[in-house]
Formats: sequence, C-alpha cells, structure tokens
Amino acid sequence: MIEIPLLIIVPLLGVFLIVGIARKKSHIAGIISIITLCLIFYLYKNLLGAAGNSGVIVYELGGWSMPEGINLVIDGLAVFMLGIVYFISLIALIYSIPYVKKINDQWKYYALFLLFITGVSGVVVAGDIFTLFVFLEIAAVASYALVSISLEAGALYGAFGYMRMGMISSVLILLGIAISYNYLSTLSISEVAIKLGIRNQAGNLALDNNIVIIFVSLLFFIGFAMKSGLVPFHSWVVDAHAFSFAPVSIMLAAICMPVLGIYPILRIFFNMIGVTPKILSIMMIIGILSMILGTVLCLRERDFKRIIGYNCISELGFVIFGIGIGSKLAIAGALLHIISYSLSSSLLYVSDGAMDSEKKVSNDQNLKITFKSNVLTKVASIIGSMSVVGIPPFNGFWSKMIIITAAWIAGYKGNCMLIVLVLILNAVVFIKVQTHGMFKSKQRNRQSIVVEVPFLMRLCIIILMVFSLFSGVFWLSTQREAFLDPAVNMILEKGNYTKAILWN
Amino acid sequence: MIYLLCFVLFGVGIYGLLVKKNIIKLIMSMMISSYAVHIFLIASGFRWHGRTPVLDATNTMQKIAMVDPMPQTLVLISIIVSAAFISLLCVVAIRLFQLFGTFDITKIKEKIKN
Repeated sequence: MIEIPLLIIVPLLGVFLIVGIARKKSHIAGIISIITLCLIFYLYKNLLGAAGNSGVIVYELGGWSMPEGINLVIDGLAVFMLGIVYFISLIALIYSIPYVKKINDQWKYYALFLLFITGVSGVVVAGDIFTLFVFLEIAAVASYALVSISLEAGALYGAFGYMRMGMISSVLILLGIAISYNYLSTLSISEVAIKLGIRNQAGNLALDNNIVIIFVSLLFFIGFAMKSGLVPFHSWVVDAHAFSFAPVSIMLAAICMPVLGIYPILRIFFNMIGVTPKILSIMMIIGILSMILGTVLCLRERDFKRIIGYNCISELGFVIFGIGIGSKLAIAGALLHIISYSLSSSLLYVSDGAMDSEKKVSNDQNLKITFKSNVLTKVASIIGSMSVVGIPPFNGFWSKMIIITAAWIAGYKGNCMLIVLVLILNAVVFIKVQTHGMFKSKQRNRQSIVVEVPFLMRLCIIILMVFSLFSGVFWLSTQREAFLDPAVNMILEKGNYTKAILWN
Repeated sequence: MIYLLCFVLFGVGIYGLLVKKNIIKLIMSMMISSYAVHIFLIASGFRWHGRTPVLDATNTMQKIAMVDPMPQTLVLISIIVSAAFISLLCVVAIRLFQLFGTFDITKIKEKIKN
C-alpha cells in the first residue's frame, strides 16, 4: 500500500516547500500547510477503507522483506491514533493562522509544525523500534523548537526543562534499544515478539524472571513515561505548556503526550515484550499517582494555562490506569479517554487562546477581564471544563464511566473511590476557575485591548465544542466497530500483530 | 572493559543531569550520557578479528566472523539526532543568557517567577 510511506513523505515535502517558497511571503506558508494536511486526510481516508478488510497493512521499504528490511505497519491501533493526530493537528493549524500573525517569521512556525506531524506519523506507522525512536526524536526536536519559538523568557525556560527531560528519556530509550538488540539481535517489533514467545514457551527463560527483559522494559517504560509526563517525571509539562502559544499547547497536550508517550507504551508492552501482572500493576500505581498529584497540584495554581497543564497530567493518569487494569473494557475506555482528553484539553486551550489574543497578555490576574468580552469563548471554556470534570452529556463522562466500571468489575474498588474523589477535586478546581472568570468580573486597572475574535478561531472553537458534546455518544454508538474494536483487539492479542506481519 | 567505561560515563552523565545547575554543564552531561550509549552500541557490534561486513560471491563462509554492521548505522543516525538536539539546546542556552545574564537555572527560575 503506497499510502503508508506517503503519510511521512507528504508532510516532509510540505516542509521543504515552505522553506523553499514561502520564506519571503509568509502568508503562503499557512496555505501550503493546510493543503498538505488536507492531502494527508485524503490518504488517511484511503487507508481507512483498506484497513477495514484485512486489519493490517504492511509496507516493505525498498522491497526488502522481513528479516532484513524495515516495515511500515498500519493496524487498528495505528488507524485510531492517526485519526486523533490528524484531526487535532488540522484544528490546531487552522487556529494558528490568525494566532501566529504576531510573530515575525511565520514560515518557521509552519515548517516546524509540519515536521512535527511527519515525526508523529512516523512513530505511529513504524514497524521496528529504532525507526520508532528516530521519528520520535524528529517529532520531539520539532516540538522543542515550537515551544521555544515565541522567544519569551518563560517559553525558553519551559523549553529547556522539556529538553532536559526529553534528552534523559531518549538516552534511556536508546539504551533499551541497544540492550534488546544485543540480547535478541533484532529490532523489528514482530520478530522480538516471536523470539520472546519462543523463549517463553521453551520454559527456560520465563518473562517474569528474565533479568534482561525486565531491565529493558523498565528502561522503555521510564523513557516513554517521561515523554508522556506521568507523575514522577511530570516536571516539564506545566512549564512547557504555560508559556507557549495556544496551538503549540494543544499540540503538546493532545498529540505529543498521548502519541509519543502512551502509544509506544501500548505498542511495546502489548505487542512486543508482552505484559505481565507486575507491569500492569506498575502502570496502575503510576496512573493513580498521576491522577491524584495532577489534581492536587492544580488547586494552588492561579494561571489558567498552568491549571490545564496539571489537568493534562491527571487525565493521562486516567489513561494509563485504564491500560493497567488490562481487561478489554478497560482498554477500550482508555482509548476512548485519549479521544475525549485530547478534545477537551484542546477546547480549553483554544478558548484560553482566544482570550489571550483579545488581551495580548497572559497573566493570571488578567483572567478576570477577558472572560467577559465574548460569549463564545465563555461557553467553550465551560463546556471544556464540564467535559474534563465528567458531567454526563459531554464526552469526558463516557470514557471515565467506562474506566470506573471496568475497575469495579476487575475488583479494584478502593481505586474507584479514589477516582471519584479525584473527579470531585477536579470539579472544585474548575468551579473555582469558572466562578472567578465569569461572575466576579471586576475591572482591573490594567487596560485591555478588546478585539473581536477572528473567524477562523471561532470556527475551531465551534467544531471542537460540537465534537466534545457529541463524540462520546457518537463514538460509543456508531463508530465503535470501525475504530475502537480493531484497536482493542490489536492491543490485547499479542499474536495478531506478529502473525499479520510475518505471515500476511 | 569498554562496557565498564560506558557504565561510568552514563553514570557521570545522569548524575550531572540531575545535580548540576549550570546550563552549559547540563548540556555537557547530556552529551556525555548519549556518548556512553553510543559507545555501548558500537562495542556490542564489535568482534575480535572481525572482517568488514561486505558479502562477496567467493567467500560466503566467513559470514560468521563479520563485524555487526547494524549498530554502526544505528549510531550514525543517533549521532545526527543528538547533534540536532545539542545545537537546539545551545541556541536556547545562548538566548537565556542574553535575557538573564546568567547560566544558573535556579536563578533563572526565580527571575521568571518575579
């Protein structure tokens, strides 16, 4: 299937086009990147139809077959993840056209954005761990540059913290790849799965007791948990989110953290190494810690973007907790929660960015002035908050309900209580934000420049509002068989992935 | 022996990353720890008395004694990635120094808070 490498080539081509053509005329850069993303959507739609029949599509790079060559693979999980990535990045790109007018070299921004999309597509379709690592680094370097692109002091500081964490994590991941290559002398995900499976069946090297495999899985887990900002490694998240542009924050929260962090964890532990109860329980513990700490740290913050940043940590805690339960229902809930989390956090960032463009400053005290000026941003912010807290019609409710139900069925009743407590704390945080923002709107002495929100921004806000209102019901009822079930099957049955690739 | 060197280098790098406060020293420790992993990869592909990994039609028998070419390619790619990384880090460090006049990360943090 020719579409799979095109998913990587097309955005890369867009980068070169922007660097080549649009350096002098910055307004072309936005148009080129929108066209590129629409083209990718077209390719993705073709892939969707093709993957529906057989389940897995494999593309062999350069015609080299399995033991020597590099594979690009599209399966249910990859289709699911790519859908989120392209939808959110299209929204962020449309949103950033009016937003980034204030910086000088817009073409740099768009080129970096497309480079980031290249990296993320590569991570999702990669069939071996080193390709995954290389694309991960491409995406990561692009995102570091995007965070620091506003060249303000805070943004640079946040970018530096992010890079520090990112460097540690990439060194750990590379070490894990080196050790696993040393031990198994292969890099391909499916081959590693087969070799470990054979060793496991022979009985002399059970997964639980094999010290090398335990070490490698720890290295991978720590590395990717750093990328996704789970709790012991969460220090970069808030600083990087708080000072960057709103579309960059959307990208970090909704694409970078789930796809560069959670997706490789799913792929490596469920399709490659294979999960054991110990790994699952570690995931659950880290998930609960992230949920609780992310929400508790929210309580003392006053800046809206920092609050959303901490909230992102706690939402990803939900996801990893759902994965850690390990039953079919729980993993479906976790995947669904990735959707609802990315929608709601981008809705919050979008509404905050619309306020930001009205007032030109993003200080915590000015929150009060600017909520007042536009009904749409107010409503968007409220809907986003309600979705995060888990009020029934919005999509945050459905995914959280599924995760809680799955935890209850699996017998983790104390954890269910903890989750409900976390949700109540979340509600406290967001009620505080909304009441301070909405109802106590006293004018501060600093004058704010009130500008109408641009049309494209309003369009993005409306699309995201509609989706976060309906997608919970929509996903559960109509699209479950098309998207969610193949992804869950691909995660849960380790052999499926390997079989489909090696004996297709 | 080489593996011990890797271990020591990696330990030094991670120690520096976690403890040091100067941005330049942080960048240097990042470089050291990534070099440690590179040396580890190269050393893992090494064979005593190995020959170059080029197959020709005449002597396919010596395939066993070849040096493993895979880690070398991996290291090349990884060096490129870390070069991009380090240059971006240096740009950020220079910019931070221009803004704050210091390389100390805690002082920068205090200045941002105020």
